[in-house]
Amino acid sequence: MNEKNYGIGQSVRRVDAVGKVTGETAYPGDINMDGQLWMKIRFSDRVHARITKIDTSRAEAYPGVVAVYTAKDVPVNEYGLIMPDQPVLCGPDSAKEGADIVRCLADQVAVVVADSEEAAAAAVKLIEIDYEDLPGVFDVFDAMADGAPQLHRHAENNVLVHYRIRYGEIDSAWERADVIVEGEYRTGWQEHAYLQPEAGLGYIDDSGRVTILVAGQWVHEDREQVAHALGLPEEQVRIIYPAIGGAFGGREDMSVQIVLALAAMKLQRPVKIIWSREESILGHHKRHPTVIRAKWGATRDGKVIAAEAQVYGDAGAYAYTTTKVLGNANLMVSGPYEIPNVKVDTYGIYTNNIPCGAFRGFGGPQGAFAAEGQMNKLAEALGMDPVELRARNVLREGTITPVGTPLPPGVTLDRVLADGARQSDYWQETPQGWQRLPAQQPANPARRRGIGMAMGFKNVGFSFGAPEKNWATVEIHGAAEIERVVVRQAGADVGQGAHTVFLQMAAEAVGVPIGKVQVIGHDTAEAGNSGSTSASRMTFMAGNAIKVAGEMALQKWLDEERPATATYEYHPPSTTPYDPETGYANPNFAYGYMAQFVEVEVDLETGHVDVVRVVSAHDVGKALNPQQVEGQVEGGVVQALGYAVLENLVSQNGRILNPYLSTYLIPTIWDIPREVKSVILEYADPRGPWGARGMAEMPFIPLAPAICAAVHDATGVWLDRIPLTPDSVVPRLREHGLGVI
Amino acid sequence: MQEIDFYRADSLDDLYRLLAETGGRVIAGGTDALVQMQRDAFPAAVVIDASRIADLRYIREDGDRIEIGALTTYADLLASSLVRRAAPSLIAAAETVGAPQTRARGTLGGNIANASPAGDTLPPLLALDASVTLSSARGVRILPLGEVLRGPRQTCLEPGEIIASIAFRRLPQPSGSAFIKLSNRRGMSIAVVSVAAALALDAAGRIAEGRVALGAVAPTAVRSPAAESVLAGEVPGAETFRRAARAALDDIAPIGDVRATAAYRREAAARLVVRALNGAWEHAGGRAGA
Ligand SMILES: Cc1cc2nc3c(=O)[nH]c(=O)nc-3n(C[C@H](O)[C@H](O)[C@H](O)COP(=O)(O)OP(=O)(O)OC[C@H]3O[C@@H](n4cnc5c(N)ncnc54)[C@H](O)[C@@H]3O)c2cc1C
Repeated sequence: MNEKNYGIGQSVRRVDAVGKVTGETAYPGDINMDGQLWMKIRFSDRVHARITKIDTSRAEAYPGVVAVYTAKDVPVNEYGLIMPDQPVLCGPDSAKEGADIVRCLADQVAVVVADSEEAAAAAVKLIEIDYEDLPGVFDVFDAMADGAPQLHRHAENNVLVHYRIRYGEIDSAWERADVIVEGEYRTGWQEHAYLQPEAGLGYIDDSGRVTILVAGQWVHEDREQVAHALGLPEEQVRIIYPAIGGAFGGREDMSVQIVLALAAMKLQRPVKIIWSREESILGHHKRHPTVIRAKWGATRDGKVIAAEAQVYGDAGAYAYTTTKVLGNANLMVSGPYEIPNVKVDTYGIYTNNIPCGAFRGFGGPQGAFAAEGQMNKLAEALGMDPVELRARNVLREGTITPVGTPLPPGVTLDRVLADGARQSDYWQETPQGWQRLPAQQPANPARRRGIGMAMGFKNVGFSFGAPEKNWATVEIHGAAEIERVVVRQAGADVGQGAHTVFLQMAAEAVGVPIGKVQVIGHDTAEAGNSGSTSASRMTFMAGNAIKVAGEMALQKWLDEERPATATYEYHPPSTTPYDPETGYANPNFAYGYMAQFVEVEVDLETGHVDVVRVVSAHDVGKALNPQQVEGQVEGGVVQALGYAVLENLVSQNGRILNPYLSTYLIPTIWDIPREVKSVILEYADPRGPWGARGMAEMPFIPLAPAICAAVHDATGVWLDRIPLTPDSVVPRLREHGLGVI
Repeated sequence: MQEIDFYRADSLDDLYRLLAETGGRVIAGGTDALVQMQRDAFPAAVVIDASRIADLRYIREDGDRIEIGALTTYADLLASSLVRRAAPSLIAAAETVGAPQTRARGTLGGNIANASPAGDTLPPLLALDASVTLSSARGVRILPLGEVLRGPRQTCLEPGEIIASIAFRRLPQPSGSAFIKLSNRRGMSIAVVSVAAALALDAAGRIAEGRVALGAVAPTAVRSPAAESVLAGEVPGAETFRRAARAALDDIAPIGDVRATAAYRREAAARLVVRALNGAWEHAGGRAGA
């Protein structure tokens, strides 16, 4: 069947393109219903406080207000993706003990429902809240210190999670190292800044279900959390994603879903909300800022023999996906290398800052920033080319990783490195090994160019023993010939083009042109559980489910069933959690591999870092839709450039000082590389559908350390702290006598 | 967002009358005002839209004097060959304002009246020694721009008074001007530091008059008398420009904020002064002085 080529491997045009470009496609905020009401949320005014009293009388008396809800109105007043550690609404008289505490400014305290958005907005300000302030803590090291304010009972000294890796004999290994490099790396928060701020519409559907139209990443998980908080059976809750305006991990956790459901259930009327950009930035989680201390050692022949690291991640006030994100950072902070002696300690720490959670790369970018920084510094200390050093250390088929197990079959790090270096135009192979070519220097002496690289690996799919599956149904309709194929697949198309690829997969599996295929998804009433669009997993997981379901349906069709319907639930090989003492684990069932090569121009006087060109090499196994692969590479590179260079979320004592896109700066067309060259490699994953691997997070992960390596090549200065804001770069350049007037 | 009464004035007389009757505030392109309204930072219960008053939207040349109506948009400036020739620094500033949409609506008068320390047209206009015509039902007064700007979002405008136009004189040839804006991002970004320079050379090639103005490094955009006195009578070039740059630091008092530290603003201001002077010198027919 694979050979027929009904869609796989072609740059099929996106099925959603025309609707989105013409504005015809309705996003949650565009949808209205007869008799709908409007909601506005009152967020916490304090970073850490006990609410002693909430007076809603003035808000209730405001013309047009229909209802005001507070903590006492929420049946099961708790939620959370990993653990239910956050109240839906904070305040007194809650069914949940301890829900009267606010722990950050993103906490929701009350909601107003009114017959207009303006009335809801005016009334929400009239709610009077009495706070009794509690001491706050905003720094991970302060939070871990004895005597620090404690945020949650289950986390002594605010340590939500601590992972360990103990592999080999680290203490004796240092003696054998010819060079040792140490570094302290710091990474910042990052805002998802998706095009569409949070919005939703809650109502009761024809079957009496509490229904939420919203944008998310996993309809079934949203349903579970909404049902839990409302004390309803899951069957009485329905989640639909009409269209999703970007997600990047930022829609994994709840925002407006539960409060909309609460109001729709109580009022039995449609209730709508649209967040402003400012509410979006203040109201949903961010990428974890980290401090990472690393010490690595190598022998003169370029073999890395020891790596030690401590990772401190600021979880903010609630867990969100911190335990998983830092699990990844723990794994990736020693890089994709064969290192016989490794010791890692990773901590996720509660503070009164904005909560942190999923964001493209999911702990990988932070881990890679330290790991690749260390590799680049080791290369310098050894006088060895950075590609050459990596070629001598990358994990290969069967080599044991620091968690005691090999990577799954299909390890291609060596080939990705070599193919990428070759096609970057920046490296050449010589009899002595890989050699970086010198950058062409501009005539203006205030500007210097440099070339750098970094590489990485990233899991595809849920890790560490998390239940992992994907459900698909394929229906074949028609009498004498196949007229129509329907794929039921709930996997979220967050804007990456998943629905188009689902069509291609079904067309290929059944053997029909894609014009005959239709996708039904994004609705808990229409399809089974597919898991989230995250962890670069949806193509891999849905592909494995759709492929088998399609082939089964075709067989039934050939056996004369009309219509022929088959359902298949794909379960990948299982994984295991970390051993608490040693970190021993079989963490993942699939990976993607990547390497990036970057050219920058540094303005020595102003500290501006201009990323001129990026070559991004990826083993995608099989490019099911090459244009979409390129879209992910280019988008990932631009987003990572923002993370590395521009995006500086400033938080002071738990308060974000720049919750606007005029002060939190994401890249514009003027800021992106003049060229992003995608090097798409197709070394099949034996477990992937048609050989495909996940690839969507990978272009993000090595970019920041590659940029820092290029800055070092240009200036001789190592920058270990991102974002590279000009005001943080200039003092470092001046220390080295650069740009002095 | 507060409730606001909205009027539209179709002529200057209409505008004066509405201002007197309502005590309201003028808006032009609304590109500053609407953002401020949304953040409850536009203290006015009544606004009067002046953007359709054609009499306040023009670019005129009268001998060596150039006068620009307050309602002239950035797009208008960019389309004017007259402004292009006479004031490349003002063109450079207009080019960097926001996005095409912002440039289509935002006005020169609005940039001045908004009185942001980082307003992009303010340093070039200061370095062109521009004067501002203020008018009201009571009459007209003409003040140097530096006297109009009083502090962050503060001007000397009195109730009922509007900015009618901005005027400057061409410098005698050979002369040139330049503007350099430094932001944390290349597009759609407010200045972290900006510098404008204007130079007029004498027959011997010395600096007859040199003017330097800086943005985002003091409560208002400011001229630098210290830098200007270094320049006067000197031979243009790298050494002179560097001395002027160091002197300019005496005339600024930057703050730190979410965009940059105060120390960075000083570092960057000095380098931008050199670059702006180089640009002005090049435009005057000299060669860049590194
Ligand atoms: C997306 C975006 C990007 C921007 N980028 C930049 C930038 O890069 N650089 C920059 O400098 N600015 C920028 N701005 C700010 C703004 O566009 C400029 O300051 C613009 O010149 C304001 O003009 P306006 O006509 O829109 O003023 P309005 O918003 O209409 O008015 C601004 C203020 O001036 C007063 N006012 C206006 N006209 C008059 C008048 N004739 N007499 C008396 N008072 C008056 C109003 O009462 C108000 O207080 C940006 C704004 C936006 C929305």
